[in-house]
Amino acid sequence: MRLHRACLAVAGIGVAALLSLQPAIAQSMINGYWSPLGHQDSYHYLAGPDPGDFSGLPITDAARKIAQQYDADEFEQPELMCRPFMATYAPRAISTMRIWETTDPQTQDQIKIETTMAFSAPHRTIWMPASNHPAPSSSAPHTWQGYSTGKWVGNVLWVHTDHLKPGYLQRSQGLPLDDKTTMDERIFRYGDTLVDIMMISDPQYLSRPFIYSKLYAYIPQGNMDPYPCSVHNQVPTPEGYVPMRLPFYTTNYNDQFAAKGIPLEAAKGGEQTMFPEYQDYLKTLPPNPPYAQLKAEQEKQLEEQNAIAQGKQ
Amino acid sequence: MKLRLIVGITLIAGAIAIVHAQGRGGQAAPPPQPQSAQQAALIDLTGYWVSVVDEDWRFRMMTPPKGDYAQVPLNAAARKIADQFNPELYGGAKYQTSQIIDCRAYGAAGLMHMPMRLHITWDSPNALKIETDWGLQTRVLHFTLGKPNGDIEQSLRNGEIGGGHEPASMQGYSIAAWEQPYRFNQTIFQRGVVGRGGGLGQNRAGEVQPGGSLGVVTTDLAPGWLRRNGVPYSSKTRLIEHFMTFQDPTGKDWFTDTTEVVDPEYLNTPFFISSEFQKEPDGSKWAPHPCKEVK
Repeated sequence: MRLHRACLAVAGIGVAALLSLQPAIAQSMINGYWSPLGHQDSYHYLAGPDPGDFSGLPITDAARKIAQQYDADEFEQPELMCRPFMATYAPRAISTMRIWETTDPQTQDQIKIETTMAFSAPHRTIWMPASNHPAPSSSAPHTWQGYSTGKWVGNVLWVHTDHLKPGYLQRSQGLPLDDKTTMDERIFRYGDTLVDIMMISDPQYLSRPFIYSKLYAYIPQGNMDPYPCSVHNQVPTPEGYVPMRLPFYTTNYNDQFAAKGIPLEAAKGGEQTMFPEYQDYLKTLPPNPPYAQLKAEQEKQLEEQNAIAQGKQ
Repeated sequence: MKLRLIVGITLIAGAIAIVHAQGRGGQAAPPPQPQSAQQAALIDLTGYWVSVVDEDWRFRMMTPPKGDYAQVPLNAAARKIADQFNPELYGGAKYQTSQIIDCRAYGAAGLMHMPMRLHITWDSPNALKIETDWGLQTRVLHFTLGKPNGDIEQSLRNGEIGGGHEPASMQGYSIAAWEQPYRFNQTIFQRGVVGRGGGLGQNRAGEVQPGGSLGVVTTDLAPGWLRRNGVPYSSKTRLIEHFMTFQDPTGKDWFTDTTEVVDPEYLNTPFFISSEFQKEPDGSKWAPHPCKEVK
């Protein structure tokens, strides 16, 4: 009996020795509440960027043409009023994000990772691992959050998303994304900072992937209020009214855009505006006309357009 | 029977522990030669890279209007300094697009957010060199001899690294370490499909994972600018960076540099930004552009 106890003790020491010899270990945990760090592009993602400012965006001519017809009053349309941010936009928004996982109680394997945001409450599911979730058929429904699968590569979460509804690249600008849009993400953390690299591809409206990194700070005592949304007609409009601009009119720039001094040529965007050599080209561009002149021309355009809409021309 | 089993387990466990200890540099084995940082590299950052500017475009590709400090958590003292920016020195009425850029905008705390090409090479087996075409700057990231891997933020908290290496300069003094990916243990939540269950000896503790990143801490900085329109950072600034490589859906290689600027003199909170760079096949687009020295 004594020998038996002694052997047990020695066995315990041996096992402890084995465990203590393992290298230092740590966990890469992305679960929890995350607060967006608003130190880059926050102006674009709070109220939305200025109309017509597409600088640094790899958009195609087709996308620019559609955006020129856009009227931000579309947000007042009942069918779009409670539209959640789509997967390609929500992580860029200035809004608290919550991430949680569901695991198999027997194997402890991750089954899915879910995310939601405080504003507009987009609820997204990332099915894990990707190899267990083959892509749905092309005729499967497209949704605002699309269909996401993920896998861990080291301590980086790789996510692929497709089956998205047609949406927008930036809010309140009218730059479109079509239903063939896909998004690949690399999500990882350094200490209490979360990084989400979003790579959005759209063969129709982007000439190259739009690659964007969003940073978040961990909130240990996080919480999230509900986001009830109900449809109310806040801006009275005639029944059947569809906000839009006629195709032969150009974007109306506002005074905030004018104050930033971005040359009108650069504001048209396109992938050439994304590279350092564009700085040399910027030097050659003429100064913008005074805003008063721009505004007068734009008001004239609007009057003409309204006259056409009312059948007076 | 039970007793034999216990004795057997004890002997096997002890033997494995001894072999493991020897494998990790125990007295029985000669100490391994320390790896250089170049040999231990977890990611390849060498080559030519171009910054792709689709974030903060108006602050990076052109000089923002005087007095526009949006998004930077500046305190009142810093705003006072930024208000002294003089457009006349940088092109007068066209200062926003003249591309006459003050060299202080290319100091380490703002450098990587500026549009430019980078040429990254090994200056020595333990020093990685970053050269820029716009601004003509050179950074050297020093790895600690014999310790190419580490947790740079933990070292900072422990007071193992800090300032006082050399006189203050625009690029300061940078200490670097490869950051290894996390390793599995029995409770790790990153799970895969192999090696599940089975008890002791079959868990995934210590299993090497792919990937990794580069951590860099920069101190000994001369005062510089966070933005081209004179938004200042002080000589007390400490810069913490993490470099991570990735591929885009078309197979192109990229890296992202996540930057935390800590300045107790001019910032109310740390300032976080990230910059993305795409790899280029060669240096054919390298275009040196000097910056403007203003005293």
